[in-house]
Amino acid sequence: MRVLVIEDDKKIASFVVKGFKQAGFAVDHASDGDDGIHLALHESYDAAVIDIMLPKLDGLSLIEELRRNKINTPVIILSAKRSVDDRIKGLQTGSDDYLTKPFSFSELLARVQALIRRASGAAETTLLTFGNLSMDILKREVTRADKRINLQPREFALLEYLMRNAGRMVSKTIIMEHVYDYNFDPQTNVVDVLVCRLRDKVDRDFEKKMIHTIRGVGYVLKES
Amino acid sequence: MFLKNPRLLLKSSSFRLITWYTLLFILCSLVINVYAYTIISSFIYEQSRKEIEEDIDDLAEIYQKDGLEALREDVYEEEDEPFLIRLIGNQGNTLISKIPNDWSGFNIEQLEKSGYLKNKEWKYLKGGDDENEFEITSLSLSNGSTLQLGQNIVEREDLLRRIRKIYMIAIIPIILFAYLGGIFVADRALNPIRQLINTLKSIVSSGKINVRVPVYQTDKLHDELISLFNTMLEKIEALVSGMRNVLDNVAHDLRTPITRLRGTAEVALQSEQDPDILREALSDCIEESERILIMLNTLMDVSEAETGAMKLDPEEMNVAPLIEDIVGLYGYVAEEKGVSVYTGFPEELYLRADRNWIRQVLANLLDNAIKYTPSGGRIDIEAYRRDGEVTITVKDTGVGIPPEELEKIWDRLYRGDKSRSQRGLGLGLSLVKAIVRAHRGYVEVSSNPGAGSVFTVYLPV
Repeated sequence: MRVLVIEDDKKIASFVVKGFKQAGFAVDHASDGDDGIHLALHESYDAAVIDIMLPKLDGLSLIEELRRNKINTPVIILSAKRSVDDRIKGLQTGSDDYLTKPFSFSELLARVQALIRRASGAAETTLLTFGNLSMDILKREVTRADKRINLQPREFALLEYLMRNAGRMVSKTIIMEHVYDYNFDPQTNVVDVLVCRLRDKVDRDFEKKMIHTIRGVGYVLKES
Repeated sequence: MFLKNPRLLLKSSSFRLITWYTLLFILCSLVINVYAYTIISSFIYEQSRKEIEEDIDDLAEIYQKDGLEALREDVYEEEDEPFLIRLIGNQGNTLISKIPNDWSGFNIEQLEKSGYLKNKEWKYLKGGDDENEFEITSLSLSNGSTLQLGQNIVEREDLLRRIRKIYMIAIIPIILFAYLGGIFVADRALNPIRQLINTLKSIVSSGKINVRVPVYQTDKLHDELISLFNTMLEKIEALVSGMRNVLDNVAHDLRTPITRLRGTAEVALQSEQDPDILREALSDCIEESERILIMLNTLMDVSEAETGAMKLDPEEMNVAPLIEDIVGLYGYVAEEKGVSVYTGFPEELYLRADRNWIRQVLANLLDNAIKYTPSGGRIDIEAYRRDGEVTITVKDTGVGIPPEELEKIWDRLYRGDKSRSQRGLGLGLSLVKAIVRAHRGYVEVSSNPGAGSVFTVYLPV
């Protein structure tokens, strides 16, 4: 997997590049719009992370230029603004996702991975397994070590999302978006409570815990 | 751009005003003068011709009734008659011709040369010595002959010439008056604008936005302009001071969590190299920074809503499913806490509002209610539409609010929970109030300490 990062802030660029390398990506970095468009037009990438405020050529114009050249690499826009207008504007130019600063790298990684998966068009399987945990999405059945677990719809949706992203960090914001289909801040521990309940049903009777909390960042489904 | 050179602008506009006023004044005076002269001169003409016109009729009657001899007799009978009298036969031959003695410079040939005169037309003749002027009228008679009468008009023409001269001389003071009047009018008209410019200049140069332009009540238009300017200044002042307050508050509110963040990091740096402690400290830092971010965003939302800068995207929407949604969202939270939530509202509650912000209002109210209601309590959410308003009430059986704190709960960073054992920033209700206000609605709270509180939101349809 190869990712292009176009970001002029050196610190942000360095932690993003480092993070992608650690996650096993090949990374190219450009620190202004001109270099960025040059790389994007002449090399092939699986995804691009583009800052909106760039010297020489701004992020949105850069994406427009890419789309005009029929390059459909999925793009994540980074911006310090958080107003809805920019979001819409960003999505209209053909980029695929949007992240506001400050952001956590794990969230950026999760979103990039999701974009690449979506772009590769892999068929969504209806039978998910992870360790001794398995889920039949059509029958809406979950079992662990052949023991049936009864889940309510939201718990089911959360577990499905965690299983599809097994081993990867999932942030609270992403859970709000995917499980509740909201992108607003409920100001409370709605997600914590949901994860707590799910953990109670999935992990309580087992020695090996699967749902782990990474404090301040989010949750991950992994075998400890 | 205009403020750069107001003096020049004023000069040119006052110059334009003066010029226009002067020209219009002169034009009006001229029209009046010409009209007056026309009336006077036509009156004088009428007066001086009246006698001759009567005479010519009399003579014509005599001639037609009694013949040429009777006319001749009548004409020569009176020696010192001031009129020229001529009778011309139908072959153009002169039958009678009497010229008064004092008509020096009159040349009869001049009249003959001018040929046939139209009936009742006045013919002007100038005497050969430039001393006298004459006018002659004629009357065609039924037998083809023509009767002509003339008079010396030098006195009349002198009078008219004198009147014309007076009018010509009068133009000089008129122009002077016009110009002075123009200056006066321009000064009166531009004075309020000049004052406005001076006030604005002092505001621009000093940065003091509490200065107002005085209203003089001299002119409706000017007063309106000035009061509009004052309203604008008031709005700017409110905005600026609002922004200043927000900035102060944000700076103050952020200092505490940033201090905590820094403290945590410092302690971790000083500690032994125990990875577990470091990991814990780092997690604390991330959580704290997350809290700062949420706080910053919420503070921005509150102040944007309060200052009217909030981006609202109103649409016709049904609030009923939104309430159900939010109750569903908090379902597990309420269940975990052992609080039951009951709802009562019609299926359709339409109003025009921004869906996302109304959802935030409902979420914050329910969140608040769950937070302050102990296990075993209940929350009732009711909504109805009445008198062009949608009313939403959230009633809890929580700890309640003491009366002296009832007004403070809407303040930024107020927290009823003094021990701060509950999660929260103390911004939820401020945001509720600000959003509802931005929708031109209002909020109310009533409480019975120890028994519970009722929060009511009124939103215009």
